[in-house]
Amino acid sequence: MGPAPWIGIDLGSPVPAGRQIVDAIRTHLVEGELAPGDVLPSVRRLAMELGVHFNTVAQAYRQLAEEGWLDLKHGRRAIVIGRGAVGDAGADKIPYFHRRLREMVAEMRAHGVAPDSIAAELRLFAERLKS
Amino acid sequence: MIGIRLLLLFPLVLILVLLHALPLLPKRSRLFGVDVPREVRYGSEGGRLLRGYHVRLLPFSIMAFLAAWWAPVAWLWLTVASPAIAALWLLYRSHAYAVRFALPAPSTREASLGGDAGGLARRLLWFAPPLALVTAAALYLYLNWSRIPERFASHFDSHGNANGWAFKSVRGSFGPLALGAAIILFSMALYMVMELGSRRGTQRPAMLACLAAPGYLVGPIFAIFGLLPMFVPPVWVFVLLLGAYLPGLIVLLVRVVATSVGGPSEVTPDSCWHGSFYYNPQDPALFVDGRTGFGLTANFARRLVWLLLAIIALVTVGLLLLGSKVLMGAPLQDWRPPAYSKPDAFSERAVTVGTGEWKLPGTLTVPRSRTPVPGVVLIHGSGPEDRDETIFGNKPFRDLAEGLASQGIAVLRYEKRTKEYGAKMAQMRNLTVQDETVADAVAAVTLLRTQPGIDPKRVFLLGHSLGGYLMPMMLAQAPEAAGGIVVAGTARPLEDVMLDQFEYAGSLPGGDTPEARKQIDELRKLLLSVKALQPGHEDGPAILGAWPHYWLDLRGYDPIVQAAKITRPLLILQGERDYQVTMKDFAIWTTALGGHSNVTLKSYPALNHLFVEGQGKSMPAEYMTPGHVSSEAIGDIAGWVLAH
Repeated sequence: MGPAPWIGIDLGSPVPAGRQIVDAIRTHLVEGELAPGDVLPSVRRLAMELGVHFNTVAQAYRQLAEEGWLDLKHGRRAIVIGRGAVGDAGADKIPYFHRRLREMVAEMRAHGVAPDSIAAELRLFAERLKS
Repeated sequence: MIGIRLLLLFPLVLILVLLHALPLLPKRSRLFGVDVPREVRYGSEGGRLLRGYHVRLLPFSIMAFLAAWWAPVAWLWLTVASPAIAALWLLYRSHAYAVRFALPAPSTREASLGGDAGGLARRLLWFAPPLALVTAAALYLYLNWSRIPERFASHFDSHGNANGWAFKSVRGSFGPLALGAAIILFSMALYMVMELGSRRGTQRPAMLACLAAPGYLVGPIFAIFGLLPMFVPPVWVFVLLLGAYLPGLIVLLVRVVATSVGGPSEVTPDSCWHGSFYYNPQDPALFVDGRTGFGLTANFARRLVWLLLAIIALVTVGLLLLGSKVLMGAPLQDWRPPAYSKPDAFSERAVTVGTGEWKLPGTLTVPRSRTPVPGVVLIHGSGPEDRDETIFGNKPFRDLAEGLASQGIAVLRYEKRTKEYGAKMAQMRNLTVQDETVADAVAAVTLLRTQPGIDPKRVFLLGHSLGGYLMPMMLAQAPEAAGGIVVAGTARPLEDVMLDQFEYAGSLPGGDTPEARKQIDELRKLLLSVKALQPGHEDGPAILGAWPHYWLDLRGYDPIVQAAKITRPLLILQGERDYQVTMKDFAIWTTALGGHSNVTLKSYPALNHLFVEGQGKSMPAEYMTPGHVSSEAIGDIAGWVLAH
């Protein structure tokens, strides 16, 4: 196993810190940089490192646990677990993803990123997914 | 004197080096507490600012270093304070200038998702060696408990003479070790809190070094203090310890600083910084990377920080107070009134003996009585004695005053002139016993005779040791004194008595060493040179603490011859265990005056030179044990005074 992955949050961003934490950790989980059995830092420690409230981190961990990534039942430790096969996302979720992806592509286009590059990036990320 | 300056020099040089290194210590991207672009920090602007700091601080450092050698001791603190104040001012000015180059603060904060298991415990191990040393010392004391003396020196002056004492008790013996362990444990706890309360960063090794390193000095020093009951180390052990520790500390600091200044600055919002104070209620960290200087600073928005600071302040003050108490030991003044002192029977008041240049503070102890009472003036032995003749825990004159006053006799005692005006007296080459003792004794008799409630016809002189030797001289000059009491009074020339004393010390168990014999030989030579003094030798050097004139003045004085002429009552008392003024002297008094009807002689088998009871050979160390003037002797003196 390589060095532990890092996450970063932007204190100046309008996106809430908790949401930034969930997104960042989930990315590492999906890309396999965090594997089942890995132990995440304690809520207290991660909150300290990121300079956010303990509850923000605790809530982020709970959301990841609800999504099936983490096991929070062992005392204060957050352990990465194998999720097994996940069925298709419910139909209710699709419009939400559709909207976010569309907004993201629009933002990239607005900053002048070529459509080919966007398509290549999307393919690259999609193929790196391990679970 | 040189000792104090040398001891000051180590920390002073360290402080001066630190003051000069201060702007170089923080992170590499910082210039006087401001995050600046590299081209400013390492370009001409940064160089100019740093050079300016050094050039302006250097004169203060050089002055402080020179002053450490030549300034009067009372002003030595200025040698540290003035460059420190100058450095603070220069840092502030440079910071104000560097702000114009400040980079916009980054807003992204990062954290590793890896665990940190075992790291803290491993780092805390750095505190273990000094702690183990102190524990080992405690264990050694515990195992050798039976060998610890009842009372031992626990503090020494700059000449290595003991001036503080501790007792064989759990507190006295283990106090210094417990204190040393407490200091190390406290810095360990502090490190734990600081690590748990701050973000993982490159400051961690520096933090650990700063908190663990002191233990490596505190541990050995307190172990040495702790073992004082068993060994008294020579001063060079401390010099060696400091000499080994300080270079080690400097190497460590340089290495730690080198690793910790390279890292990026911790991201903290600019708006939360008020000068060098950080206040951010959103931030759970208790301690953050400081913007100025080196190391961490507190997040004052956290209540826990205030609590911690209060605890740190309290513990520091507590350790300092406790430390000075434990390490200084008790200055053996634990005098308690003797059983024969009846505080209800007398009162004390302050008086002044003599007038003008040499007036002396004194204490008059007066019995509660409706009729006039007899009085006694107490005259000291040799040396700069206080009014109580305090020696370690003994206050024989206070015992006498309270003991006699309890039996209806007023007692006047006062500071000896060489005690009150020691520095002035030491300059007087023509000093004689007249100035040292006799003149004040006569003035004291005059004073006591005029005090209300005192019977002026019954005022006696009591002379101890040298005071007994001078009794005939004093009685001759104070014709209104009713009589004299000689307690352990010398009958022979002082130089003869001194030689006997040193030879006795050499004859004690453990005293007969080649060095002791050499010392006695040297003393004998000195005493012979006293004997060889002739009129005209007055300009020579002081011998045995007195100028030639002092010795020459006593040449024609023989207390025995003078005493034989006295018709007033004389009481001559002697302790048989006294090794300073011995039964040899008492035999001379007895032979010369035994047949005189006005003279009463008595010796006491158990008493030493202080008229304190004891057993076996009297030793110099016996005076360290607090005791009281024998009630039998006090009863005899009181009976004799009241009978006349």
